[in-house]
Amino acid sequence: VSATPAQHVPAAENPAAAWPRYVVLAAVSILMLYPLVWLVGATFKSNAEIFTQIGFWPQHFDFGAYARGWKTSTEYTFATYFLNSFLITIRASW
Amino acid sequence: MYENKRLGFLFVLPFVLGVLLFKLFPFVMSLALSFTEYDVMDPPVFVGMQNYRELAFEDPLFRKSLGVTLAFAMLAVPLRVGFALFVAHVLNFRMRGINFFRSAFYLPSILGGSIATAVLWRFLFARNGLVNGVLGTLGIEPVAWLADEHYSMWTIVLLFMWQFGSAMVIFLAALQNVPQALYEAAEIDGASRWQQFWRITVPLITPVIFFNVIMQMVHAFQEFNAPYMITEGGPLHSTYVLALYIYDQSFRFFNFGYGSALSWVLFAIVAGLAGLAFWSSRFWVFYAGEKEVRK
Repeated sequence: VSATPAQHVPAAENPAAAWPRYVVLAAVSILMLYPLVWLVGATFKSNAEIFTQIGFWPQHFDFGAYARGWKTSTEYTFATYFLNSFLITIRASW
Repeated sequence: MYENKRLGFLFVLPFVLGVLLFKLFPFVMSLALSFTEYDVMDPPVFVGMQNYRELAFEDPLFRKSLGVTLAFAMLAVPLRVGFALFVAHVLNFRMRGINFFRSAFYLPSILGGSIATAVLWRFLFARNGLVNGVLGTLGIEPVAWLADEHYSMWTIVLLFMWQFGSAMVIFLAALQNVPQALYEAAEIDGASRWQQFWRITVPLITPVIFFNVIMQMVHAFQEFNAPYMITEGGPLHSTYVLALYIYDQSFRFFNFGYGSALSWVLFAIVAGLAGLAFWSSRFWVFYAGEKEVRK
């Protein structure tokens, strides 16, 4: 008899039977998450390192990309673009 | 009573106005424009069925992009829905760390069809990007994911598949509604896990499979961001989906009449396929407690 009768979710029978499930889940979550983790790491990398190393941890941290991203290559800063998106979100969801 | 009704109409008025003005009006306008030649500068010129005749008989690029769109939908929808069901099934157990896994699998879908994910994908599948880097450590030659017409479609399909989260969440809810007693009874009768899945789980969640297939099909036919950002429709138009062709005709060549006609053909195809799916659903979708009604 389940302790939470509202949910018909079987518990993994015993630890020995659960491990294949964990292997599958862990493998899939690496596929799901590694690209995102790698992307966060890549924000600190130089272009050369992005395209030569598969590790996510930068060899040396370069915050320049954030500075350039804030300034953008236009006459407006990131704040302008963010504000535009923000205003559209507010208006689109009333 | 009457007073309340008027007040009610007043309250829904902004919504109704919004739908009429911003949804129905463009809808009708684009249908009207599809029978014209219109380049924004000059007023539209009525040309009858000319646009439709042209795309049906004289436009090899339309045929190419229609084929690409159908191929994309036929690959991407079963892969996403199947993978979502597989992962939901594996996740549907009470075990340690389950919430971590559920969040992890849903995370890419929260990012949605955003430009940032498309840019990420472009980096990952670049000639010396992460994917080839990982393959290299396994001793596999680098693959020209984006430059080879045989692989470009798969990179787009993989991105679509990677964002399976919304279908997975719906499947999870459906799986939790399958009565546990059925599995217990099946187990006593000696049914294997495999049989339980195909004979109990799948039949009982067919309405949700149906829902997910329809929704994902509609999404797949509208796919634009990924082919636009990652492959730009190339190489050799191998990822040139209809949405891209509509965009190019309308906003690059300013053939708004032709673009509208293309849009309506796409709409007709999606509506037709959805209709076909609804018709077929009476043969394979099982609604509990609705048996008599459906006869």
